[in-house]
Amino acid sequence: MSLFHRNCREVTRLVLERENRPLTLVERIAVRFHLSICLMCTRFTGQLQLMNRAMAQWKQYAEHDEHGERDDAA
Amino acid sequence: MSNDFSRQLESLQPQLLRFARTQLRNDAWAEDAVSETVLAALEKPQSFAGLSQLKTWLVGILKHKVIDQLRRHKREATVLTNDDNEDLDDLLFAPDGHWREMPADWGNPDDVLRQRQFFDVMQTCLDVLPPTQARVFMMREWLELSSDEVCKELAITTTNLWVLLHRARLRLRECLQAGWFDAHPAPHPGRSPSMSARPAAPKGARAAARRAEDS
Repeated sequence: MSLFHRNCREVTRLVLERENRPLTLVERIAVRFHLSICLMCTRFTGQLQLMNRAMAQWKQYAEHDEHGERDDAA
Repeated sequence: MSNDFSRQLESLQPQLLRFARTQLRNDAWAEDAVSETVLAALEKPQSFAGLSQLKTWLVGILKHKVIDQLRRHKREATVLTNDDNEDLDDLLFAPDGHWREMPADWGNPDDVLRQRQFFDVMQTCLDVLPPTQARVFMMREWLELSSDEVCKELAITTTNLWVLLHRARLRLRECLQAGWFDAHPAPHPGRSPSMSARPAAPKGARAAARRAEDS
């Protein structure tokens, strides 16, 4: 297996790990290359991004729930 | 001490308790953290323009008290279950490293995150995460501690932490899929009402716009 070719399981791990540490250049290229050809991992990555945004907004939700709305105008 | 201030503190207590419970996953610790927060507030009462400002201040204090609790109970707070030991789920991937099932299209995040009920589901999903996973995940996401700080506070290794965080995110994903996205699938461009109402619309352009949104 070449340096830049990773399977879905490995790419998924890297996509999760980049929440914890900066990826190396080789890893970043491998991830981008894989995502450019793999719809499944692209979808998974989109799911993670949605969860990240949801967590950021969750704090607002939890803070404002008494008023029955979130200020999501921003 | 103003009666008003005490009453405001009391009215905010349930919300503080919910934050503390989600983070600590232990009712006794959560209650301790909240009472310490209220006591600290009573010691130096301040006036605020409104409840929400008071709440921001209290949540700031609560975060410190919650970290104190985690530090005090770190051994119990980091007990692992079977679920915490697997890294990437074998259920997700075949032995050759391919996905067993196509991950679902969750659609446009803006559309999803506009819906209040989504956050009710999300709260439930956070509450059913295995406790240790929930604690480290919330330490990163809510307390906004760095990985190094989490490891230091809980006396766990980086490898432990990463496995727990990966598990938490995969569990959360699974729960959101079952609790929300199965019932609210992303609208298919070809099947949405607006598309059928305007069949002559440049389909390619719409599809391209959609792809751009997705990326």
